[in-house]
Parts: sequence; structure tokens; C-alpha cells
Amino acid sequence: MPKKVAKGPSLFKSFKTRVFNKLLKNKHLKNTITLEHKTIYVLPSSLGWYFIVVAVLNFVMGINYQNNLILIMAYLMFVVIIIAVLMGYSNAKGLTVKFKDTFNSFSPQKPQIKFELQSPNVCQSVSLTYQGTVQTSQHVYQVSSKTQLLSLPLPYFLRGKYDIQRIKISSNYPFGLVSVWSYIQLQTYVFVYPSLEKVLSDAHVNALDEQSDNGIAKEVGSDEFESLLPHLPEMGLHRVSWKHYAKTQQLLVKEFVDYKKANALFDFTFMNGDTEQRLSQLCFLVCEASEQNTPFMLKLPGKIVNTNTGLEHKQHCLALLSTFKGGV
Amino acid sequence: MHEIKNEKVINYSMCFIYACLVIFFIAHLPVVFISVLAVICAWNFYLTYNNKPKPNSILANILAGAALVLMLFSVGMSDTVILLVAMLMLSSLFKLLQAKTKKHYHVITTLTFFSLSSVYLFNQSILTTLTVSGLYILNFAVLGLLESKHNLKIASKQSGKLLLLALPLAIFLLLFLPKMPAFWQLPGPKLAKTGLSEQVDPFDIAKLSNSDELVFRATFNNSAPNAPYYWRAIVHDEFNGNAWLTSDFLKYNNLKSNSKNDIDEQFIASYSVIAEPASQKWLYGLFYSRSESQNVESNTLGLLRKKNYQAKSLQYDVTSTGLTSTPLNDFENKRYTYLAHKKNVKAASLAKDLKQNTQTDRQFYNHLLQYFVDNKFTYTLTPTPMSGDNTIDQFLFDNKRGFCGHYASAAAYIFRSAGIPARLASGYLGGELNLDNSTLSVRQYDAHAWVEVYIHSEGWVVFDATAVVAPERLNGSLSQNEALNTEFKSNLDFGLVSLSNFPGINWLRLELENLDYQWSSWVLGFDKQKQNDFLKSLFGSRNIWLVPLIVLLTIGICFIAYFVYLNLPKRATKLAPMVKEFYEIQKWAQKQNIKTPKHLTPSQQLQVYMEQSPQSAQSLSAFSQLFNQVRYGKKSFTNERKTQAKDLIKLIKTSK
Repeated sequence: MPKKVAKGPSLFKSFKTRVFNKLLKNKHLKNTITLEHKTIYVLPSSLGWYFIVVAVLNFVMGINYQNNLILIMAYLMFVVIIIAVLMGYSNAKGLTVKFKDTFNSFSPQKPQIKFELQSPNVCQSVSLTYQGTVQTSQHVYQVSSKTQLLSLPLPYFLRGKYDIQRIKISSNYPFGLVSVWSYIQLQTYVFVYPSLEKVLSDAHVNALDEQSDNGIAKEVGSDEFESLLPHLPEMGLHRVSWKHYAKTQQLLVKEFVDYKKANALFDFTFMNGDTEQRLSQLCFLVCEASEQNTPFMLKLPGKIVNTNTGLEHKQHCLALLSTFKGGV
Repeated sequence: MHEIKNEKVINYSMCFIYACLVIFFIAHLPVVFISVLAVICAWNFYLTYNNKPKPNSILANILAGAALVLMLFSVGMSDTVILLVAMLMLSSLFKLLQAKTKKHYHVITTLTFFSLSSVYLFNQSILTTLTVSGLYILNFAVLGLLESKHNLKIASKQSGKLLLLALPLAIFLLLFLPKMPAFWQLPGPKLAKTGLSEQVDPFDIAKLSNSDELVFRATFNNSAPNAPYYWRAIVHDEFNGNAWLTSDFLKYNNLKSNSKNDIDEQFIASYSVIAEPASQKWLYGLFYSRSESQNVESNTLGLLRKKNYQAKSLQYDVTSTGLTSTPLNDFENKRYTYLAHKKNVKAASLAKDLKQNTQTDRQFYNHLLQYFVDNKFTYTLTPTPMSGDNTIDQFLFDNKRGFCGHYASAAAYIFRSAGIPARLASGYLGGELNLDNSTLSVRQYDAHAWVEVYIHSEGWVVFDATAVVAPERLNGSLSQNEALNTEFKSNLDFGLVSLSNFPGINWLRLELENLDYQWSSWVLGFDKQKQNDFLKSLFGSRNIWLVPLIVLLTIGICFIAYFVYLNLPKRATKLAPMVKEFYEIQKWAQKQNIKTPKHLTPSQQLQVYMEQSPQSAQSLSAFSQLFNQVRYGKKSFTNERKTQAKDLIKLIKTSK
């Protein structure tokens, strides 16, 4: 079952998005945002509007009964709402929201984004909201100069690749009368991988050997010495061949290679069930193979990933599985 | 959106606020309905206290429907303001009973802001204002609690601070924003109590004057005229056998606005009156009163009326002249001598006797006064109730005890029997002068009734038999009347007035009275006229156009200043001990052109200073020692060490 796609965004919705984008002028298109004058928006919250309505009612009552005490109540409420706007703005100013990382998930779990919050002055009552729903909102009562981590769950649980939408950073401080908000627009995406379905992996291991004698690509390992390479700064010193250094004053690094006993081929067509089940099974196999450091090859209809191991390989394969659009 | 942390405290606070509101409205809402509100409030408190779940919405809605029906039955539709308040209270309390989410509580708290203001429709005393202000702060604190996880104390402190900050600006707005006229006429709340009524029927009354509620205050512009003060409010011209009423003719006459403009009338006094809120239209004035104030109309009888019903206190200026002396025409003569029921035979014969023994109406007047003295009539506040159709006879010849209404009824009857035009007037007599003798407070127990007699060549004059029966009653208030004091006080509900024998308490009472007067005169009575005068006194009438500009500027500056204050960089955290002192020495060294490399520790820097400036080396080394002791030796920076450091710095600076 492919990912549910909304039936074409309605005209109004697309218009709204366009207007929004124009207004926001890509000001929020970054991975770290510090709230300042340009990027803070302030309006009374829904409670604030109620409050204003009651203030107007009080005002009308005070005028009609020529009652100074009621009038002063009304004026007090007006002044309070303006003070609240100022306080709310000053509260949010200086808050820094920094994008740390995304956490992909396996369906039906939800992926998460991790943020770092920090503010030079104490900033009260901050919420991060994704797409305006309560379920995907996280609240922090106080952000201070000490960095604070916050992970925001995203409302995705179906397999797929999702671009991250604008995230609203908002605060209702003080008294919930005003809503002070800003956005952070990350240019990244999250994956929801297919759910994991347990299958026996033995059947697919070694399948490769029979099909091809192409050998395995060289794999960096630790078992057998392969060659000497020039030393690069990120390589560390533990593999430096000191013998060569003593002779030639040249830093060389010893390269070892694991020759795997077994290789695996995970083929879509070998799986059972419908597309989603097959993908789930493949997903499980990929994860298991990665855990055991078994090199594997992934074969999807119209797509082949060559044998490899490692985190990058695994993620590449999982991404392919998530975005797979074919059928059985 | 996050869940509420302080639900329990919030519920307690709202219960408390509504309990206070219920107490406020006890006097204005029917008992049944008030008890329903109290029960809901208590129920909610009980649920909160015992951590029980709130009732489900079906049950609550059924109950709300039942309560609504009960409300419509008990409160009725006649008084829309009361109905509004009742509905507001009922809906808020039921909402509170069902409130679960933050949004529910938001609705309740905002509604509460309106409910709290509506208290002021009924009562605007200082005490009420203080209480309501407290509740206001609490309500704000609840708003704060909904948003944060502070405790109630911190939240109320914050809300108090915010409101204190906002209050000066609100007062400024009240003072300077032009007062608008009412958008439309709203019905005022109908307040029940008054000592007067359109019908004077004293004979079935057994107990009187037990309310010390304020009716109005009068401030004389110059000096107060001589007592007694007869504050006229109503004139009754028709006797129906038991009671004196205001005839429809007079009512019509009352409505006619005053076109009379006799300047040659004898001027008596000019003064301003602040009348407390009352649902009746009548106002109070001495003798023949006229008023130019808005909302007040004067009529041909010299009485004042409100132009429209208003729930708030009303301030107006009065000029009083002597009662009219224009001759009565035949019709008026007939009307003021007409008695429909002549069942009081003895009284009529007494009138006949007196008439035969006197030549003029004036003589008759004096003889009648003398009659009340000679026949040992006494004044009482607890008369014997009388019934039948000859109550005046019973009073005049059997009981001989009574209060003003008895004397006035009887005297007016006698005058009319003798063919002398007479009418009954009711209002208030006297009043209590405040400490500086300029303001008179008149209370419900000062209610009085007397007779106005038309005497040829003199015009209308006051005939008050009470004056001879209880002469003390004429001067000052009942509360200051020695002879009747005990009786008066035993009649009075417990209050400060009943304790006025103790000088301290009496002084306190009068002080409070004064405060209350200032309150109603300056705060409650600050109307368009006063605002105009105030603004004119500030800017002069020519620069009055500056006002809106100044208002805008001031408000703007205030907000900008506050905004700047909010965004000021926070001051660095407190310095560690001795650091400030060390900086001082560094500064000194800079002045002395002693240069040190930047990476040196303070002790090393001091060492350099010592080498460079040998004349202060000794003090510097002492300072260095002290510095090391305090900063690294874990010695506390006591006052002694502080002074030592200061002295050393002084020595270092002065050494040459």
C-alpha cells in the first residue's frame, strides 16, 4: 500500500502557502534560528481575543452606566493586553532553536526531530508545534542559558520519505493572552521505514555466490593485511606503520581487509506476501545483516544495490525500501 | 497545548471567587437561586477537595437546565440586569463544574472578568472595590497558573505586579480620555430599599428607622444655613382615610418642568448633593429647589427628579429658595383642603374648636403646635399599631405616642378640616455633619414626614409637630439625639453607629465616613463635567485640544519605556567577593601607567604593581594577602575584611 497522498492541495490551501512563503521571505529557512525583531510575530491568542471582547463589554457597560469603577476595569484590561504583548515579545526574544538531528523510525513508530533550545534570558513556556496539531507539539516550561534538548515527534507513521514542513515555535507567556510565534523551516527530511517483519535470514545468505563469481568488493576490515596507504589526518595513529616511518620518514597506514565468509542477497521477488509485507521482510533482513556486519546486496524491481556493509549502506537500503513505489 | 498542572488550585481559586460573588449578590437575588449557586460552588469545592471526578456532561447539562428553569421562575424577567447577572453566575458555575480542558478554564476566567465588573452595578463602596480588586488579581493568577506550573503564591504575586503596573495607566486613561455619553439606555438594577414611599401610612407601623444606610450627602458651597434641614422629596396631597398619597394630578404636575424664574425669591442655600444609587426617581433638596445639572429636572413644587433611572450614584447642584408664596387659585385651594373621608370626627371637632378660638391662620398654626405640647404627646419609634377608619382620632385622643408620620398625618387632617390648605411632605430631616462641618450625611433613619401649610400673606410654611414633641430631633441626626438615643440604638441593626457612644469608635466612624465621602465624590462622581473642569484647570480652556495629544504621547512613552526596560541587557551576576576591590586597584594601576601582561593572575599582577610602585608596596602586599585569603583561603568576606580592603585601597591610592 503506497503512502497516502492528499488529493491535490486545494486552491485556497496552495494560495495560503504561497502568501505565507512570500510574507516569510525565506527568513526561517535555516537550521538554527535566534528569535529577534525580524522573526517574531505577536498577536493576541484566542484567549486574548476573548479577553478583549470582555474588555469591550466592560467598557460598554461602564459607559452606559456611567460607572467609573467598571470603566477602570475595562481600561485595566486594555492596558494589560498591551503589556502582555510587550512581555510576550521580550520573553521570546533571544531564544535560539537549533536543529540537531532527525531520527528516522520504523512504521508505525513516528520519526522525531531533535532540537537544542537555549536563551540568554530566561524564556518561559515555549512550545514547538509541527503542523499545528496537539499530538505533535512539545512544551518546555522554561528555557535558560543552559542548553536544553527537545525532541519533537512527527505525525508520520506510514512508510515513506517526508520533507519536514515549517515548524512553529510559539509561546503563550504571559497568562496565555498573547501568542508569540516564529518558524523554523528545516531543509531536511525524515524516513519512516517499513515495519519490521521477522523472517529467517539463512535462506538468503550465500545466495549471491551461486549467482555470480564477481567477488566481493574490497571491504575495510581488520583481519588480513592488504596494502599500505598514505596517512591522512582522520585516520588516527594506531594503524600507522612505524616500521616504514623509521625507514622513510613517511607516514603510511596499514590497510586490512575482511574477507567475508558469507554474503547475502535480499531480493524483493523472493519474499512472500504483498508489497508492504515484502518490504517489511526486506527491512528486517537489512537490519539484521547490518547488525551482524554481513555484506548484502539488495535487489528491488528495477533497482539493485551492490553488496556492501556499514551504516551508510544500511541507511541507503532502508531509504530505498521506504520510498519504493512499485508493486508485486 | 499542554495539560494543566495546577487543576486543584485553579478549582479552589475559582470556587473562592464565585463564593465571594455569591455573597455579594445575596441581597439582590432570590434566596432559592442564591442557595442553588452556593450549592454548585460547594459541590465543586467538595469534588476538588476529595479528588473526585467532575460529573459527566449529561448529568451536568440536565442540572443546568433545571437550574435555568428555576432561575427564570425565581428571578423573573422583570429586572433584566439581575437576570443577566444570574445567568452569568449560573453559566460560569456550571461550566466550572464540567471544566476539564484548558479551553474550558479560559472561558470561565474571561467570563469571571465580566462577572466581577457587574458587582459594581450594585455596590461601589470602598470595601467592595478592595475585595473585587483582590478577586481580580486572583483571577489573573488563575490565568497565569493555566499557563505555567508555578504555585498560587508566585502566580498571584506576578499578576499583582502586572496589575499594579497597569493601574496607573488605567487611572490616567480614566482621567484624560474624554467621557462618552451612554450609547443607549440600559435598565438600571432595581434596588429595593428606601425609607420613603409614595404613600404615608404610619398607623400600621410598629417599628421604624432601623437602617443606617446612606441616602445622600450634601456639601454646602458657602456656609450651611441654619438647622433644621427639611430635605423634601415627595409631596402627598390626597388623604384616603388612612394614608396620604400623591394624587395623579400632582404626579402630572410633578412632571412639568420648571419654567418659573423668580429671582426675588429669598435665597437660602446652594449646595451639591451626591445621591446614593436608588431605583426611585425622587431626589432631595431644601425648600424650593432648582437644579441646572444634567439628568435632573426640577418641577413646580420645588422638588427634584431624576430624568432617567440610573443605577449609579448621582451628583447634582441645587439652589434653594424659600417656598412659594404665590396665592393659590381656587382649584388649588379646593384640592389642598379636600378630605375624602371624614371618619375622624374628634379630630374634625378639635379643628373646629381651634378655628373658633383663633382669628388668623397663623394663630391656628401656633395653637395647634401648643395643643401637641399641652396634651403630653410623646415621640417614639415603637408606636402601637392602630387600625380602623378613625386612626387619627385614636392617635390624637388615645395613644398620643407616635413618630413623625403620625403627627404629620394628624396635623394635616386638622388643617384641612379647618379649611386651611395643607399637604404632607416627606423626605429626610437633618443629617450628620462631618468633622469639618461642611458635609451632611443623611441616612435612611433620618426619614421624616411633615406638613406644609399655606398661610395667607406668608405662603407655604412648614408645620412639624415633631419639633415641639421632640425638639432635639430638629437639630442634627437621630444618631446625635440624646433623648432618643437609647431607643434609637436598640432599634438599629448592629453597626458602627450603634457604638457611637465610644469616642474612639465614633471618631473612627466619622473618619471612615469622610473617606467614603471623598470616594464617592472623587472616584464615583467623576463625570463629564468634573473631567472638563479638571482638564481646564490643568491646561486652561484654550489649550484643551492638547489633551488627546498628551494622552497619546504619555501612553506611548509609558509603553516604550516599559519595553526598553524589558529588553535591557540583564545586569551581570553578582561579582565574587574582593573582585570589585581588585578591579579598583587595576584601575589605579592603569592611571599610574603600570602595564602588566594580560595573562597574569591577580596575585602576579599585584606583584608587578608592587615592583613598579614601591611607595605603596606594603599596602599592596597586604591587599594581596587579603585577596588570597578571601578568594582562595576560604575565609569569609566579613565586614571587618571589607573595611580593611577599603582602607588598603585608600592607602594605595594616596601613597606617593
